[in-house]
Amino acid sequence: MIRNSYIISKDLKLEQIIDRMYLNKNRGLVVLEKKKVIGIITDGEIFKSWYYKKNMSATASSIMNKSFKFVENKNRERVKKIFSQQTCTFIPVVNKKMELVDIINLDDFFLKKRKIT
Amino acid sequence: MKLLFFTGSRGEWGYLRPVLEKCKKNKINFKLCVTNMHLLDSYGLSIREIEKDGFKVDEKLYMALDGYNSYTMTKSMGVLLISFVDTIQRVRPDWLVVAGDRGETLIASIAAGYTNVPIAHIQAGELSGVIDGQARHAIGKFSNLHFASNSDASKRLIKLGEEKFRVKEVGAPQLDDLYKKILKFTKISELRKKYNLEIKNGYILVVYHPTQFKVESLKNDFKKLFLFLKSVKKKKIWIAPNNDAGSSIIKAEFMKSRDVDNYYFDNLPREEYLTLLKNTDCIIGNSSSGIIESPAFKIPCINLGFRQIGRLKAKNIIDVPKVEIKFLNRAYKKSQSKRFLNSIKNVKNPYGDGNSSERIISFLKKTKIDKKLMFKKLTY
Repeated sequence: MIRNSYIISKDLKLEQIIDRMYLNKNRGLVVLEKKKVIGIITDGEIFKSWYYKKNMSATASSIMNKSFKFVENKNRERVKKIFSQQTCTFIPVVNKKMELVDIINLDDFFLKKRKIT
Repeated sequence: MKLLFFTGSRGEWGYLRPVLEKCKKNKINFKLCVTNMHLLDSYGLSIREIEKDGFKVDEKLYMALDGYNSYTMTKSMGVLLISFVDTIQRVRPDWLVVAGDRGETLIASIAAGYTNVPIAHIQAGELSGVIDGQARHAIGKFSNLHFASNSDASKRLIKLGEEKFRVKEVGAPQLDDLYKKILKFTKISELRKKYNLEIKNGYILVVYHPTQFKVESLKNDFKKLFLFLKSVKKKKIWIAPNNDAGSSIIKAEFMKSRDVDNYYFDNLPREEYLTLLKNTDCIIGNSSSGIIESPAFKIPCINLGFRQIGRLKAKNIIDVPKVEIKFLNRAYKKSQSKRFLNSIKNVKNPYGDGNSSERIISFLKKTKIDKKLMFKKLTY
């Protein structure tokens, strides 16, 4: 299920992005443009924005990570591999067109033993 | 001898890095000035790679104005001119060492030229398309020593009126990394894991820089390229363009068209980039990396448009002057044919043998800074 608190538009300002990050336990957000995933923002991007002195009106598209990890809907079994090899807390699941289908977070996956189908 | 190295883009850093390594090894006093793309988060912040490589950045000059069109690009160069003169005054170098053909390099050369600092220009005398080619030769006019990477370039410099004693044929220093195995290549399996790349069945590396200032033609060419790549049933790994005018258009169009078969990187550490280059089925685009570095790995390179027009090219390079799907299809089919792949197995790289940085340092040490060096006579 995709919770709205995980999704933002590319024009959202840094100040609002930080507010939104408090709302979800992933410590991360998915940036969408017309349903397409174009980037993600984690606390790492927030830290970088602070370090490089971005101002609070910087937009999501200017701070997001565009080289993010994702899995294609048909290859959901890869999620386990990614979580066990990488330090990421959530992974967007996308269809062929890169449109968001689901967001799988680490807690859901390992603690609640979410079934990946 | 105190050298001041100047770099504004990741490509150019590849030229300078082996020379700086040599300076370190030979305990030569040098300072490093970093500007433009290296300092931009949206272009991969490659200064971090420079620092990770173990180099101290002595001068950071922010210059790039947002917009990335021809007006902001030119205005940004004005900002650099004002700033770099102060750097020269602070550092007081014996030589300014620059490389390549970028606008910011031309500006650094103008500043050094007018403040009587001798300039050594790496990758001098070559031809390149669009305004870069003009910038390269303009840098040459300000330079006191020209390091050419091949005989074609050194002959051109002499034809352009440079005195023979100033022209040194040394090869391309960015190949030193490859031939001398200075860089430790990352294993492709590690990169697959690190970036979650599903590239077991091969992939195409795409490095496409903007060349036109007309938005519509840039968009059209990009769309044709993307459509062609979509028809190739392989994953594609895109490296973001440099920040020249039009780069934001390419980035925006890419984001609009992107699907799951396309991976994207603003920037990669050089050893990772070279690993991707080494293992790709084909590099497509208009980057000088395709012209200079791809022959070292004996992989096919499809060179698009006129950005690299007139450059000396190895046999692994297939030129596609006009971005049209039918031409791209034809070139790609050729690049993957057994006949072509066999023909490039022993391809020679015309850009050097891996000893360029040693030669550059040796010439810099040997060259006396005197009236003969400083007062240029143009022979034509």
